[in-house]
Amino acid sequence: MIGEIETGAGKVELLSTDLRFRDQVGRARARLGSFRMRYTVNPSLYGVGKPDENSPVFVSANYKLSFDLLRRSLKGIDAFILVLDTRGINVWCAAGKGTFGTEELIKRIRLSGLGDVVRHRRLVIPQLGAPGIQAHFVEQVTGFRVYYGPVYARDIAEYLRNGYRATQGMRTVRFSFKDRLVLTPIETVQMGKPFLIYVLSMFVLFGLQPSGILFRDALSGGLDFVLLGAVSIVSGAVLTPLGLPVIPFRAFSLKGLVSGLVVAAVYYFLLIGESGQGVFKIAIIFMTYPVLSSYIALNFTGATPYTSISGVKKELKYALPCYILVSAATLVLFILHKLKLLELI
Amino acid sequence: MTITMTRLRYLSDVVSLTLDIDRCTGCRRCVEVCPRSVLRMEGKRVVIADRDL
Repeated sequence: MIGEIETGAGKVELLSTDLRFRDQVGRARARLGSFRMRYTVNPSLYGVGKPDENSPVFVSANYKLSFDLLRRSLKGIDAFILVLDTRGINVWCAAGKGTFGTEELIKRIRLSGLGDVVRHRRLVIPQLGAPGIQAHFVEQVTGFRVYYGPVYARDIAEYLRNGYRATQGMRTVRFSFKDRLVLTPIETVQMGKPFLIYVLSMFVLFGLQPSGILFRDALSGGLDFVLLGAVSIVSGAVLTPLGLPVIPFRAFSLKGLVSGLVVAAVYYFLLIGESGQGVFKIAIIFMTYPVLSSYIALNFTGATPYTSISGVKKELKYALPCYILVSAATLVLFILHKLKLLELI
Repeated sequence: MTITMTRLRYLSDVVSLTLDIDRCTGCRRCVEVCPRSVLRMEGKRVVIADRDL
C-alpha cells in the first residue's frame, strides 16, 4: 500500500505497480513449495496510478502470484483492481470450481460500492475466468457489462489501446518452454523427502554386512542406485516437462518412460559399462528407473493447461497396475542383487 | 519462437465436453473466451471445431 484515494464509495487503497524484494521472495517461495497454498491477498477494491471515476476496473483472484502479475502489468495505467475471494487459488482453477464466479463477483461489486466509485459500467474479467462467470446475469443484476481481457496480463496495455479488444494471439493459451521451466522446481522439490528416505535405505541395504554396517560397501554398492534415482527424478520432473513437444507419445506416462529409458541408458553406458554388474542390477536400471520417471511425469499432467482428468484416468488404468507390479518386482530384484553381492546365490 | 498450444495435444477422445446446441443464442462469447479455439461459428450457431484440442 502506498496511499489512499477518496472515491464516491469511500477510501480505496492505492498500490505500487513495482514488485518489491519481498514480493520476489514470495514469488520464488510460491514456485518452490506448499507456501503457494497460503500466498493470498485481502479480497477488496484497490487502485493503481491515479484512478478516477472513468478508470477501467480489472477483476482478479486473491492468489498473490496472479495478483502481482496483474499489478505489475498495470504500470503507467490508472485503474482499479477488484479482488475476489477465491481462497488463494488462481483465476483459471478458481473459475473451474466456481469460486471465481458469478455470485462472488456480484457480492464484491456490492461490498466495494463499485457503482459509486466509477461512472462507467465496464468490468474487465481475465479471459480464463470466463468459465465461472455468467456475464449476462452479472449485467442484469449489477448493470456492469463484462469485457473479457487477454489471457496474459502483460497484454493488457495493448488491449486497452485496442479499445477493449483482444487479438487472437492474446486469446490463446501458450505453454512455452519458459512457462514449463518455471513449473519444474516444485516438481523436483516435491520428490526431496522420498528421495532422502530412498538414499538412506540404499546405504543401509548395501552397507549391511555380516560384520555390521560398512560405509565402504554402502558407497560402492549403493552409489549407482542413488545417482540413478536422482537422474530419474530429473528426467520425470524436469526433462519431460521441458521436452514435452518433442518427446514421442501423447500419454505423459509414456513420455516419462521414454525420457527415463534414455537417461538410464546414457548412465549405464557412460558410467557403468559392461563391467559385469550382474543381471539383477541391469534389470533394475532399465526397468525401475524409467518407470520412476514415468510416474513423476504423469504427475506433471496436473500442472499443464491441456490435459484432462478424464485423460489421466484413462492413463492410470494401465499405468497404475504397471507401477505396482514394477515396485514389487524391484523389491525382489534388490534382494536378489544383494544376495548375489554377498555371494549367497 | 514459442510453441503454441495447438501443437501440444493430449490423448484423443477423452474430453468430456458437450455442446447443447438448443441453448445456443449465437452470442459468440464462447468462441471469444475459449483459449484453445475448440469452438467456431458456423453461420449463426456455434460448433465444436476440434474436440481433442
